[in-house]
Amino acid sequence: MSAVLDHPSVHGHHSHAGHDAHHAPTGWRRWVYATNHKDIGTLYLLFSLTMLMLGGVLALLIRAELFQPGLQFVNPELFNQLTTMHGLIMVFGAIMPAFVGFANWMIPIQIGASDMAFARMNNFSFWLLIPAGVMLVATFFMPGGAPSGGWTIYAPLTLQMGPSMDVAIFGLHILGASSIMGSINIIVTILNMRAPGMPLMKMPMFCWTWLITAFLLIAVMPVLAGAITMTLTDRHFGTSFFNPAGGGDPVLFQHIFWFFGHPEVYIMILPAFGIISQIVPAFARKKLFGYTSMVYATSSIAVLSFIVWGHHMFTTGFPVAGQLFFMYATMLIAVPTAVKIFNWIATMWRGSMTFETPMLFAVGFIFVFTMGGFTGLICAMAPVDIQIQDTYYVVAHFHYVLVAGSLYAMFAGYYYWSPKWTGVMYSETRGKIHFWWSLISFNVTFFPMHFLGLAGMPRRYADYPMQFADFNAVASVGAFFFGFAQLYFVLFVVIPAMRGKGQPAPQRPWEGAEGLEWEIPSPAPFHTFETPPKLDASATKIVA
Amino acid sequence: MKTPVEMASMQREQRRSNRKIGLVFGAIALVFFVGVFARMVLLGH
Repeated sequence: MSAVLDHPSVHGHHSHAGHDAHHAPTGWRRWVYATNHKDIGTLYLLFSLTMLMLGGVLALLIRAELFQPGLQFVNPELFNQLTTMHGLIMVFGAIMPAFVGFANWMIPIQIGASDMAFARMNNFSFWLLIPAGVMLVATFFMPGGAPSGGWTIYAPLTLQMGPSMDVAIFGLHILGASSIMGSINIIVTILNMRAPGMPLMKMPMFCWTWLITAFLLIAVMPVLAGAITMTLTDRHFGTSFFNPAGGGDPVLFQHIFWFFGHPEVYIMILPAFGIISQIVPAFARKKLFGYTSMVYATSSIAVLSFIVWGHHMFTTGFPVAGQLFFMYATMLIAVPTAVKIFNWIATMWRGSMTFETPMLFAVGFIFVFTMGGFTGLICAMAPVDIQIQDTYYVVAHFHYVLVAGSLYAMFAGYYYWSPKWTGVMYSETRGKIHFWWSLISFNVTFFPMHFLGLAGMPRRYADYPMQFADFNAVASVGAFFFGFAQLYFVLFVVIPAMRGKGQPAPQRPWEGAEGLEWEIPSPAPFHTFETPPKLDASATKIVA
Repeated sequence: MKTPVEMASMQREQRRSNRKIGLVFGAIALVFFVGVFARMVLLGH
Protein backbone atom coordinates (compact mmCIF):
# COMPACT_ATOMS: atom_id res chain seq x y z
CA MET A 1 0.00 0.00 0.00
CA SER A 2 2.83 2.33 0.75
CA ALA A 3 4.22 3.13 -2.64
CA VAL A 4 6.54 5.69 -1.12
CA LEU A 5 9.71 4.23 -2.50
CA ASP A 6 8.27 3.54 -5.91
CA HIS A 7 7.87 7.17 -6.90
CA PRO A 8 11.24 8.82 -6.48
CA SER A 9 10.27 11.66 -8.79
CA VAL A 10 7.84 13.00 -6.24
CA HIS A 11 10.40 13.23 -3.47
CA GLY A 12 12.68 15.94 -2.43
CA HIS A 13 10.81 18.99 -3.55
CA HIS A 14 9.37 20.06 -0.27
CA SER A 15 11.18 21.77 2.52
CA HIS A 16 9.41 20.04 5.38
CA ALA A 17 8.77 16.72 3.92
CA GLY A 18 11.56 14.29 4.51
CA HIS A 19 14.64 14.82 2.45
CA ASP A 20 16.09 11.44 3.07
CA ALA A 21 13.76 9.03 1.38
CA HIS A 22 16.91 7.42 -0.02
CA HIS A 23 17.71 6.31 3.55
CA ALA A 24 14.66 4.09 3.51
CA PRO A 25 15.43 0.41 4.02
CA THR A 26 14.52 -2.13 1.38
CA GLY A 27 13.51 -5.75 1.13
CA TRP A 28 12.08 -7.82 3.98
CA ARG A 29 14.08 -5.88 6.58
CA ARG A 30 12.02 -2.81 5.78
CA TRP A 31 8.91 -4.57 7.07
CA VAL A 32 10.22 -6.93 9.76
CA TYR A 33 12.36 -4.27 11.44
CA ALA A 34 10.00 -1.43 10.57
CA THR A 35 10.07 1.51 12.93
CA ASN A 36 8.62 4.00 10.48
CA HIS A 37 5.04 4.90 11.35
CA LYS A 38 3.95 4.85 7.72
CA ASP A 39 5.33 1.35 7.11
CA ILE A 40 3.82 0.07 10.35
CA GLY A 41 0.52 1.72 9.40
CA THR A 42 0.64 -0.10 6.08
CA LEU A 43 1.36 -3.40 7.84
CA TYR A 44 -1.59 -2.88 10.17
CA LEU A 45 -3.89 -2.08 7.26
CA LEU A 46 -2.78 -5.12 5.26
CA PHE A 47 -3.18 -7.37 8.30
CA SER A 48 -6.67 -6.09 8.99
CA LEU A 49 -7.63 -6.42 5.32
CA THR A 50 -6.52 -10.07 5.41
CA MET A 51 -8.51 -10.69 8.58
CA LEU A 52 -11.50 -8.89 7.08
CA MET A 53 -11.42 -11.31 4.16
CA LEU A 54 -11.06 -14.31 6.50
CA GLY A 55 -13.89 -13.12 8.73
CA GLY A 56 -15.92 -12.43 5.60
CA VAL A 57 -15.47 -16.00 4.38
CA LEU A 58 -16.77 -17.24 7.75
CA ALA A 59 -19.75 -14.87 7.42
CA LEU A 60 -20.53 -16.24 3.97
CA LEU A 61 -20.39 -19.81 5.29
CA ILE A 62 -22.90 -18.77 7.96
CA ARG A 63 -25.18 -17.15 5.39
CA ALA A 64 -24.85 -20.12 3.02
CA GLU A 65 -26.08 -22.40 5.78
CA LEU A 66 -28.94 -20.04 6.61
CA PHE A 67 -30.02 -19.62 2.99
CA GLN A 68 -32.77 -22.16 3.57
CA PRO A 69 -34.14 -24.13 6.53
CA GLY A 70 -32.52 -27.42 7.43
CA LEU A 71 -28.85 -28.31 7.65
CA GLN A 72 -27.09 -28.11 4.28
CA PHE A 73 -23.38 -27.37 4.63
CA VAL A 74 -22.31 -27.38 8.26
CA ASN A 75 -23.40 -29.13 11.43
CA PRO A 76 -24.63 -27.05 14.39
CA GLU A 77 -21.31 -27.40 16.25
CA LEU A 78 -19.33 -26.01 13.34
CA PHE A 79 -21.97 -23.31 12.83
CA ASN A 80 -21.40 -22.09 16.40
CA GLN A 81 -17.66 -22.11 15.78
CA LEU A 82 -18.20 -20.02 12.66
CA THR A 83 -20.31 -17.38 14.42
CA THR A 84 -17.86 -17.21 17.33
CA MET A 85 -14.76 -16.90 15.21
CA HIS A 86 -16.44 -14.50 12.77
CA GLY A 87 -17.08 -12.15 15.70
CA LEU A 88 -13.65 -12.52 17.30
CA ILE A 89 -11.77 -12.15 14.02
CA MET A 90 -13.78 -9.13 12.87
CA VAL A 91 -13.64 -7.29 16.21
CA PHE A 92 -10.07 -8.04 17.29
CA GLY A 93 -8.43 -8.85 13.98
CA ALA A 94 -10.08 -6.55 11.46
CA ILE A 95 -11.69 -3.42 12.92
CA MET A 96 -9.35 -2.62 15.79
CA PRO A 97 -6.07 -3.12 13.88
CA ALA A 98 -7.45 -1.22 10.89
CA PHE A 99 -8.05 1.88 12.98
CA VAL A 100 -4.59 1.50 14.54
CA GLY A 101 -3.28 1.42 10.98
CA PHE A 102 -5.07 4.68 10.19
CA ALA A 103 -3.70 6.12 13.44
CA ASN A 104 -0.15 5.10 12.63
CA TRP A 105 -0.30 6.60 9.18
CA MET A 106 -2.12 9.81 9.95
CA ILE A 107 -1.58 10.95 13.55
CA PRO A 108 2.14 11.84 13.33
CA ILE A 109 1.56 13.60 10.02
CA GLN A 110 -1.52 15.45 11.24
CA ILE A 111 0.19 16.78 14.36
CA GLY A 112 3.52 17.55 12.67
CA ALA A 113 5.50 14.87 14.53
CA SER A 114 8.42 12.98 13.05
CA ASP A 115 7.09 9.57 14.05
CA MET A 116 5.27 7.77 16.84
CA ALA A 117 6.74 8.31 20.31
CA PHE A 118 7.91 4.71 20.76
CA ALA A 119 8.95 3.53 17.34
CA ARG A 120 10.34 0.14 18.38
CA MET A 121 7.38 -0.63 20.61
CA ASN A 122 5.23 0.24 17.62
CA ASN A 123 6.98 -2.51 15.66
CA PHE A 124 6.46 -4.94 18.56
CA SER A 125 2.76 -4.02 18.83
CA PHE A 126 2.24 -4.92 15.20
CA TRP A 127 4.24 -8.12 15.09
CA LEU A 128 2.38 -9.43 18.15
CA LEU A 129 -0.72 -9.46 15.99
CA ILE A 130 0.60 -12.12 13.64
CA PRO A 131 0.98 -14.99 16.15
CA ALA A 132 -2.29 -13.93 17.79
CA GLY A 133 -4.13 -13.98 14.47
CA VAL A 134 -2.56 -17.31 13.51
CA MET A 135 -3.56 -18.77 16.88
CA LEU A 136 -7.16 -17.65 16.49
CA VAL A 137 -7.46 -19.11 13.01
CA ALA A 138 -5.55 -22.29 13.96
CA THR A 139 -8.16 -23.18 16.58
CA PHE A 140 -10.33 -24.50 13.74
CA PHE A 141 -7.82 -27.31 13.27
CA MET A 142 -7.56 -28.30 16.93
CA PRO A 143 -9.31 -31.25 18.60
CA GLY A 144 -12.93 -30.27 19.19
CA GLY A 145 -12.70 -27.40 16.74
CA ALA A 146 -12.62 -23.67 17.38
CA PRO A 147 -14.24 -22.00 20.41
CA SER A 148 -17.99 -21.97 19.95
CA GLY A 149 -19.38 -20.06 22.91
CA GLY A 150 -19.95 -16.84 20.98
CA TRP A 151 -17.56 -13.88 20.64
CA THR A 152 -18.61 -12.88 24.16
CA ILE A 153 -16.89 -16.06 25.46
CA TYR A 154 -19.46 -16.48 28.21
CA ALA A 155 -18.90 -18.80 31.13
CA PRO A 156 -19.80 -21.57 31.79
CA LEU A 157 -19.58 -22.51 28.09
CA THR A 158 -15.92 -21.50 28.00
CA LEU A 159 -15.22 -23.68 31.02
CA GLN A 160 -16.48 -26.76 29.20
CA MET A 161 -14.69 -26.38 25.88
CA GLY A 162 -11.66 -28.17 24.45
CA PRO A 163 -8.05 -26.98 24.24
CA SER A 164 -8.84 -24.46 21.50
CA MET A 165 -10.33 -22.22 24.17
CA ASP A 166 -6.93 -21.93 25.85
CA VAL A 167 -5.31 -21.02 22.57
CA ALA A 168 -8.01 -18.41 21.88
CA ILE A 169 -7.53 -16.96 25.38
CA PHE A 170 -3.77 -16.74 24.79
CA GLY A 171 -4.41 -15.10 21.43
CA LEU A 172 -6.74 -12.55 23.03
CA HIS A 173 -4.17 -11.83 25.72
CA ILE A 174 -1.59 -11.07 23.05
CA LEU A 175 -4.03 -8.92 21.09
CA GLY A 176 -4.84 -7.04 24.29
CA ALA A 177 -1.17 -6.43 25.05
CA SER A 178 -0.69 -5.17 21.51
CA SER A 179 -3.66 -2.83 21.84
CA ILE A 180 -2.42 -1.44 25.17
CA MET A 181 1.04 -0.76 23.77
CA GLY A 182 -0.49 0.83 20.69
CA SER A 183 -2.69 3.04 22.87
CA ILE A 184 0.20 4.18 25.04
CA ASN A 185 2.09 5.04 21.87
CA ILE A 186 -0.80 7.06 20.51
CA ILE A 187 -1.44 8.94 23.76
CA VAL A 188 2.22 9.87 24.25
CA THR A 189 2.60 10.86 20.60
CA ILE A 190 -0.41 13.16 20.76
CA LEU A 191 0.29 14.65 24.19
CA ASN A 192 4.02 15.06 23.83
CA MET A 193 4.97 15.36 20.18
CA ARG A 194 2.66 17.92 18.61
CA ALA A 195 4.36 20.58 16.55
CA PRO A 196 4.69 24.00 18.22
CA GLY A 197 1.59 26.01 17.43
CA MET A 198 -0.79 23.07 17.61
CA PRO A 199 -2.69 23.18 20.91
CA LEU A 200 -5.01 20.29 21.68
CA MET A 201 -8.06 22.32 20.72
CA LYS A 202 -6.71 22.91 17.22
CA MET A 203 -5.88 19.29 16.62
CA PRO A 204 -7.64 17.47 13.76
CA MET A 205 -10.73 15.61 14.95
CA PHE A 206 -9.27 12.25 13.93
CA CYS A 207 -6.46 12.76 16.46
CA TRP A 208 -8.95 13.80 19.12
CA THR A 209 -11.16 10.77 18.63
CA TRP A 210 -8.12 8.49 18.70
CA LEU A 211 -6.76 10.13 21.86
CA ILE A 212 -10.05 9.43 23.62
CA THR A 213 -10.21 5.91 22.15
CA ALA A 214 -6.69 5.20 23.42
CA PHE A 215 -7.74 6.19 26.95
CA LEU A 216 -10.69 3.82 26.65
CA LEU A 217 -8.43 1.01 25.49
CA ILE A 218 -6.03 1.45 28.38
CA ALA A 219 -8.94 1.36 30.81
CA VAL A 220 -10.77 -1.68 29.47
CA MET A 221 -8.33 -4.04 27.76
CA PRO A 222 -6.77 -4.98 31.14
CA VAL A 223 -10.29 -5.76 32.38
CA LEU A 224 -10.81 -8.19 29.50
CA ALA A 225 -7.39 -9.65 30.20
CA GLY A 226 -8.42 -10.14 33.84
CA ALA A 227 -11.69 -11.82 32.86
CA ILE A 228 -10.10 -14.29 30.47
CA THR A 229 -7.26 -14.99 32.92
CA MET A 230 -9.89 -15.92 35.48
CA THR A 231 -11.51 -18.14 32.87
CA LEU A 232 -8.14 -19.80 32.37
CA THR A 233 -7.62 -20.37 36.10
CA ASP A 234 -11.15 -21.74 36.36
CA ARG A 235 -10.35 -24.16 33.54
CA HIS A 236 -7.00 -25.38 34.80
CA PHE A 237 -6.12 -24.22 38.30
CA GLY A 238 -9.13 -25.16 40.38
CA THR A 239 -10.57 -21.69 40.95
CA SER A 240 -14.30 -21.05 40.72
CA PHE A 241 -14.75 -17.45 39.69
CA PHE A 242 -17.39 -18.35 37.14
CA ASN A 243 -17.96 -22.03 37.75
CA PRO A 244 -21.27 -22.62 39.53
CA ALA A 245 -20.18 -26.15 40.46
CA GLY A 246 -17.57 -24.62 42.75
CA GLY A 247 -19.73 -21.75 44.01
CA GLY A 248 -18.80 -19.32 41.25
CA ASP A 249 -21.16 -17.11 39.31
CA PRO A 250 -21.39 -17.18 35.48
CA VAL A 251 -23.23 -13.85 35.51
CA LEU A 252 -20.14 -12.30 37.14
CA PHE A 253 -18.30 -13.02 33.89
CA GLN A 254 -20.96 -11.11 31.98
CA HIS A 255 -20.54 -8.11 34.26
CA ILE A 256 -16.77 -8.05 33.76
CA PHE A 257 -16.98 -8.83 30.05
CA TRP A 258 -19.48 -6.06 29.32
CA PHE A 259 -17.57 -3.57 31.46
CA PHE A 260 -14.96 -4.12 28.77
CA GLY A 261 -17.42 -4.86 25.96
CA HIS A 262 -19.44 -1.70 25.86
CA PRO A 263 -16.49 0.72 25.82
CA GLU A 264 -15.13 -1.66 23.17
CA VAL A 265 -18.11 -0.74 20.99
CA TYR A 266 -17.03 2.90 21.21
CA ILE A 267 -13.41 1.94 20.63
CA MET A 268 -14.64 0.61 17.29
CA ILE A 269 -16.73 3.66 16.41
CA LEU A 270 -14.99 6.78 17.82
CA PRO A 271 -12.09 6.68 15.30
CA ALA A 272 -14.76 6.27 12.62
CA PHE A 273 -16.37 9.49 13.87
CA GLY A 274 -12.95 11.11 13.57
CA ILE A 275 -12.54 10.05 9.94
CA ILE A 276 -16.01 11.30 9.04
CA SER A 277 -15.28 14.61 10.82
CA GLN A 278 -12.28 15.05 8.51
CA ILE A 279 -14.05 14.15 5.30
CA VAL A 280 -17.37 16.01 5.60
CA PRO A 281 -15.77 19.49 5.93
CA ALA A 282 -13.38 18.73 3.04
CA PHE A 283 -16.16 17.92 0.59
CA ALA A 284 -18.60 20.53 1.92
CA ARG A 285 -15.78 23.09 1.62
CA LYS A 286 -16.60 24.48 5.04
CA LYS A 287 -15.06 24.37 8.48
CA LEU A 288 -16.34 21.59 10.72
CA PHE A 289 -19.42 22.96 12.48
CA GLY A 290 -19.06 22.95 16.28
CA TYR A 291 -15.50 21.66 16.65
CA THR A 292 -15.48 22.20 20.42
CA SER A 293 -18.83 20.50 20.88
CA MET A 294 -17.52 17.57 18.81
CA VAL A 295 -14.60 17.17 21.23
CA TYR A 296 -16.87 17.33 24.27
CA ALA A 297 -19.43 15.01 22.68
CA THR A 298 -16.72 12.43 21.97
CA SER A 299 -15.47 12.70 25.56
CA SER A 300 -19.02 12.38 26.91
CA ILE A 301 -19.63 9.24 24.86
CA ALA A 302 -16.40 7.77 26.27
CA VAL A 303 -17.32 8.58 29.88
CA LEU A 304 -20.88 7.31 29.52
CA SER A 305 -19.64 4.08 27.94
CA PHE A 306 -18.43 2.97 31.39
CA ILE A 307 -21.86 3.09 33.02
CA VAL A 308 -24.06 1.30 30.50
CA TRP A 309 -22.75 -2.27 30.49
CA GLY A 310 -25.88 -3.61 32.18
CA HIS A 311 -28.00 -3.04 29.08
CA HIS A 312 -26.45 -6.20 27.63
CA MET A 313 -27.77 -8.14 30.61
CA PHE A 314 -31.40 -7.15 31.08
CA THR A 315 -32.48 -10.80 30.96
CA THR A 316 -30.09 -12.02 33.66
CA GLY A 317 -32.41 -11.14 36.52
CA PHE A 318 -31.45 -7.55 37.09
CA PRO A 319 -33.48 -5.71 39.75
CA VAL A 320 -35.86 -3.15 38.24
CA ALA A 321 -33.87 -0.24 39.68
CA GLY A 322 -30.78 -1.56 37.90
CA GLN A 323 -32.68 -1.98 34.65
CA LEU A 324 -33.95 1.59 34.89
CA PHE A 325 -30.49 2.97 35.62
CA PHE A 326 -28.85 1.21 32.68
CA MET A 327 -31.79 2.00 30.40
CA TYR A 328 -31.65 5.74 31.06
CA ALA A 329 -27.87 5.90 31.08
CA THR A 330 -27.83 4.19 27.70
CA MET A 331 -30.39 6.57 26.27
CA LEU A 332 -28.28 9.47 27.51
CA ILE A 333 -25.59 8.44 25.00
CA ALA A 334 -28.00 9.42 22.23
CA VAL A 335 -27.45 13.08 23.21
CA PRO A 336 -23.72 13.45 22.42
CA THR A 337 -24.12 11.10 19.47
CA ALA A 338 -26.88 13.32 18.08
CA VAL A 339 -24.64 16.35 18.64
CA LYS A 340 -22.15 14.75 16.28
CA ILE A 341 -24.75 13.82 13.67
CA PHE A 342 -26.28 17.33 13.76
CA ASN A 343 -22.82 18.90 13.50
CA TRP A 344 -22.01 16.86 10.39
CA ILE A 345 -25.33 17.87 8.85
CA ALA A 346 -24.77 21.52 9.83
CA THR A 347 -21.32 21.33 8.24
CA MET A 348 -22.92 20.16 5.01
CA TRP A 349 -25.69 22.75 5.20
CA ARG A 350 -25.19 25.32 2.43
CA GLY A 351 -21.77 23.90 1.69
CA SER A 352 -20.40 23.62 -1.84
CA MET A 353 -20.71 19.89 -1.76
CA THR A 354 -19.33 17.40 -4.23
CA PHE A 355 -19.73 13.69 -3.92
CA GLU A 356 -16.47 11.96 -4.64
CA THR A 357 -16.16 8.44 -3.21
CA PRO A 358 -14.90 9.47 0.28
CA MET A 359 -17.88 11.81 0.66
CA LEU A 360 -20.29 9.16 -0.62
CA PHE A 361 -19.07 6.75 2.02
CA ALA A 362 -19.20 9.52 4.65
CA VAL A 363 -22.80 10.45 3.80
CA GLY A 364 -23.65 6.73 3.57
CA PHE A 365 -22.10 6.32 7.01
CA ILE A 366 -24.20 9.11 8.52
CA PHE A 367 -27.42 7.78 6.99
CA VAL A 368 -27.00 4.09 7.76
CA PHE A 369 -25.17 4.49 11.07
CA THR A 370 -28.04 6.66 12.29
CA MET A 371 -30.42 3.80 11.54
CA GLY A 372 -28.20 1.55 13.67
CA GLY A 373 -28.21 4.21 16.37
CA PHE A 374 -31.99 4.33 16.44
CA THR A 375 -32.34 0.55 16.69
CA GLY A 376 -29.82 0.85 19.53
CA LEU A 377 -32.25 3.10 21.35
CA ILE A 378 -34.97 0.51 20.85
CA CYS A 379 -32.68 -2.19 22.25
CA ALA A 380 -31.88 0.09 25.19
CA MET A 381 -35.48 -0.02 26.42
CA ALA A 382 -35.51 -2.80 28.98
CA PRO A 383 -39.06 -4.04 28.34
CA VAL A 384 -38.41 -4.19 24.59
CA ASP A 385 -34.95 -5.67 24.96
CA ILE A 386 -36.25 -8.52 27.08
CA GLN A 387 -38.33 -9.50 24.02
CA ILE A 388 -35.64 -9.09 21.39
CA GLN A 389 -32.62 -10.23 23.45
CA ASP A 390 -30.42 -12.58 21.40
CA THR A 391 -32.62 -12.31 18.32
CA TYR A 392 -31.69 -11.22 14.81
CA TYR A 393 -32.91 -7.72 15.68
CA VAL A 394 -29.77 -7.32 17.77
CA VAL A 395 -27.66 -8.86 14.97
CA ALA A 396 -29.14 -6.30 12.56
CA HIS A 397 -28.53 -3.47 15.04
CA PHE A 398 -24.86 -4.08 15.64
CA HIS A 399 -24.10 -4.79 11.99
CA TYR A 400 -25.67 -1.44 11.10
CA VAL A 401 -23.32 0.13 13.62
CA LEU A 402 -20.17 -1.86 12.89
CA VAL A 403 -20.39 -2.51 9.17
CA ALA A 404 -22.18 0.60 7.99
CA GLY A 405 -20.46 2.50 10.78
CA SER A 406 -16.89 1.39 11.32
CA LEU A 407 -16.30 -0.32 7.96
CA TYR A 408 -17.83 2.45 5.86
CA ALA A 409 -15.74 5.02 7.73
CA MET A 410 -12.65 2.95 6.96
CA PHE A 411 -13.57 2.85 3.28
CA ALA A 412 -14.19 6.61 3.39
CA GLY A 413 -10.81 7.09 5.06
CA TYR A 414 -9.08 4.83 2.56
CA TYR A 415 -10.43 6.72 -0.45
CA TYR A 416 -9.68 10.06 1.24
CA TRP A 417 -6.11 9.36 2.31
CA SER A 418 -4.94 6.66 -0.14
CA PRO A 419 -3.66 9.28 -2.65
CA LYS A 420 -1.36 10.46 0.14
CA TRP A 421 -0.34 6.91 1.01
CA THR A 422 0.22 5.53 -2.45
CA GLY A 423 0.86 8.58 -4.61
CA VAL A 424 -1.81 7.56 -7.11
CA MET A 425 -5.47 8.45 -7.44
CA TYR A 426 -7.96 5.63 -7.29
CA SER A 427 -10.47 5.28 -10.12
CA GLU A 428 -13.50 7.38 -9.21
CA THR A 429 -15.76 5.12 -11.28
CA ARG A 430 -14.56 2.05 -9.42
CA GLY A 431 -14.92 3.83 -6.09
CA LYS A 432 -18.52 4.75 -6.88
CA ILE A 433 -19.30 1.21 -8.05
CA HIS A 434 -17.85 -0.07 -4.78
CA PHE A 435 -19.95 2.38 -2.76
CA TRP A 436 -23.32 1.73 -4.40
CA TRP A 437 -22.73 -2.01 -4.61
CA SER A 438 -21.84 -2.09 -0.90
CA LEU A 439 -24.67 0.21 0.21
CA ILE A 440 -27.40 -1.70 -1.59
CA SER A 441 -26.14 -5.20 -0.76
CA PHE A 442 -25.50 -4.23 2.87
CA ASN A 443 -29.11 -3.15 3.29
CA VAL A 444 -30.42 -6.20 1.45
CA THR A 445 -28.43 -8.33 3.90
CA PHE A 446 -29.18 -6.70 7.20
CA PHE A 447 -32.49 -4.85 6.88
CA PRO A 448 -34.55 -8.09 6.71
CA MET A 449 -32.86 -9.24 9.91
CA HIS A 450 -34.89 -6.63 11.82
CA PHE A 451 -38.07 -8.43 10.75
CA LEU A 452 -36.58 -11.84 11.55
CA GLY A 453 -35.67 -10.65 15.03
CA LEU A 454 -39.04 -9.08 15.70
CA ALA A 455 -40.66 -12.34 14.59
CA GLY A 456 -38.54 -14.15 17.17
CA MET A 457 -35.71 -15.79 15.24
CA PRO A 458 -32.84 -16.36 17.71
CA ARG A 459 -29.22 -15.73 16.76
CA ARG A 460 -26.55 -18.47 16.73
CA TYR A 461 -28.88 -21.18 15.41
CA ALA A 462 -27.95 -23.24 12.35
CA ASP A 463 -31.55 -24.08 11.51
CA TYR A 464 -34.93 -22.34 11.68
CA PRO A 465 -38.62 -22.94 10.98
CA MET A 466 -40.17 -22.32 7.54
CA GLN A 467 -41.73 -19.02 8.66
CA PHE A 468 -38.28 -17.37 8.57
CA ALA A 469 -37.25 -18.77 5.17
CA ASP A 470 -37.96 -15.81 2.86
CA PHE A 471 -36.13 -13.10 4.79
CA ASN A 472 -33.19 -15.44 5.39
CA ALA A 473 -32.91 -16.19 1.68
CA VAL A 474 -32.89 -12.46 0.89
CA ALA A 475 -30.27 -11.80 3.58
CA SER A 476 -28.03 -14.57 2.26
CA VAL A 477 -28.21 -13.29 -1.33
CA GLY A 478 -27.38 -9.79 -0.09
CA ALA A 479 -24.46 -11.11 1.95
CA PHE A 480 -22.85 -12.77 -1.07
CA PHE A 481 -23.29 -9.59 -3.11
CA PHE A 482 -21.73 -7.61 -0.25
CA GLY A 483 -18.84 -10.07 -0.07
CA PHE A 484 -18.19 -9.77 -3.81
CA ALA A 485 -18.29 -5.97 -3.50
CA GLN A 486 -15.40 -6.15 -1.05
CA LEU A 487 -13.52 -8.56 -3.32
CA TYR A 488 -14.01 -5.98 -6.09
CA PHE A 489 -12.57 -3.33 -3.75
CA VAL A 490 -9.47 -5.39 -3.06
CA LEU A 491 -8.88 -6.50 -6.66
CA PHE A 492 -9.74 -3.31 -8.52
CA VAL A 493 -9.03 -0.52 -6.05
CA VAL A 494 -6.46 -1.60 -3.45
CA ILE A 495 -4.16 -3.82 -5.53
CA PRO A 496 -3.86 -1.35 -8.45
CA ALA A 497 -3.02 1.38 -5.92
CA MET A 498 -0.36 -0.80 -4.31
CA ARG A 499 1.15 -1.35 -7.75
CA GLY A 500 1.19 2.39 -8.37
CA LYS A 501 -1.39 2.17 -11.18
CA GLY A 502 -3.42 5.32 -11.66
CA GLN A 503 -3.04 9.03 -12.19
CA PRO A 504 -0.29 10.58 -10.03
CA ALA A 505 -1.89 12.16 -6.99
CA PRO A 506 -1.32 15.87 -6.42
CA GLN A 507 -0.21 17.11 -3.02
CA ARG A 508 -3.76 18.14 -2.18
CA PRO A 509 -6.20 16.07 -4.25
CA TRP A 510 -9.25 17.48 -2.47
CA GLU A 511 -9.92 21.17 -2.95
CA GLY A 512 -11.49 21.71 0.45
CA ALA A 513 -9.17 19.51 2.50
CA GLU A 514 -7.23 21.14 5.30
CA GLY A 515 -4.52 19.81 7.58
CA LEU A 516 -0.82 19.09 7.63
CA GLU A 517 -1.17 15.86 5.63
CA TRP A 518 -1.99 18.01 2.62
CA GLU A 519 1.13 20.14 3.14
CA ILE A 520 3.47 17.28 2.21
CA PRO A 521 3.89 15.65 -1.20
CA SER A 522 1.99 12.61 -2.42
CA PRO A 523 3.05 9.94 -1.72
CA ALA A 524 4.17 10.98 1.73
CA PRO A 525 7.97 10.81 1.92
CA PHE A 526 9.51 8.11 4.08
CA HIS A 527 10.40 10.65 6.78
CA THR A 528 8.30 13.70 7.44
CA PHE A 529 8.66 16.63 9.83
CA GLU A 530 12.15 15.72 11.03
CA THR A 531 12.31 19.31 12.21
CA PRO A 532 9.05 20.56 13.70
CA PRO A 533 7.13 22.68 11.19
CA LYS A 534 6.08 26.27 11.85
CA LEU A 535 2.32 26.48 11.66
CA ASP A 536 -0.13 29.26 10.88
CA ALA A 537 -2.73 30.41 13.40
CA SER A 538 -5.20 27.74 12.34
CA ALA A 539 -2.55 25.01 12.76
CA THR A 540 -3.52 23.60 9.38
CA LYS A 541 -0.80 25.12 7.20
CA ILE A 542 2.97 25.32 7.27
CA VAL A 543 4.21 28.90 7.09
CA ALA A 544 7.96 28.47 6.85
CA MET B 1 19.21 3.98 7.67
CA LYS B 2 18.14 6.50 10.24
CA THR B 3 15.54 5.11 12.58
CA PRO B 4 12.88 7.51 13.85
CA VAL B 5 14.35 7.48 17.36
CA GLU B 6 17.57 8.85 15.95
CA MET B 7 15.91 11.66 14.08
CA ALA B 8 16.63 15.26 14.81
CA SER B 9 13.34 16.05 16.48
CA MET B 10 13.67 13.17 18.95
CA GLN B 11 16.17 14.67 21.35
CA ARG B 12 17.20 12.89 24.52
CA GLU B 13 14.89 15.10 26.62
CA GLN B 14 12.00 14.34 24.33
CA ARG B 15 12.60 10.62 24.57
CA ARG B 16 12.93 10.80 28.36
CA SER B 17 9.72 12.77 28.61
CA ASN B 18 7.94 10.29 26.29
CA ARG B 19 9.16 7.41 28.43
CA LYS B 20 7.86 9.05 31.59
CA ILE B 21 4.35 9.54 30.23
CA GLY B 22 4.39 6.08 28.67
CA LEU B 23 5.32 4.47 31.97
CA VAL B 24 2.51 6.32 33.75
CA PHE B 25 -0.06 4.94 31.32
CA GLY B 26 1.54 1.49 31.38
CA ALA B 27 1.26 1.55 35.16
CA ILE B 28 -2.40 2.56 34.90
CA ALA B 29 -3.07 -0.42 32.62
CA LEU B 30 -1.31 -2.72 35.09
CA VAL B 31 -3.34 -1.33 38.00
CA PHE B 32 -6.57 -2.00 36.09
CA PHE B 33 -5.46 -5.58 35.37
CA VAL B 34 -4.47 -6.27 38.96
CA GLY B 35 -7.49 -4.33 40.18
CA VAL B 36 -9.91 -6.74 38.53
CA PHE B 37 -8.35 -9.61 40.47
CA ALA B 38 -8.15 -7.58 43.66
CA ARG B 39 -11.84 -6.77 43.39
CA MET B 40 -12.78 -10.40 42.85
CA VAL B 41 -10.29 -12.17 45.10
CA LEU B 42 -9.93 -9.82 48.06
CA LEU B 43 -13.41 -8.39 48.27
CA GLY B 44 -15.35 -11.36 46.91
CA HIS B 45 -18.21 -10.96 44.49
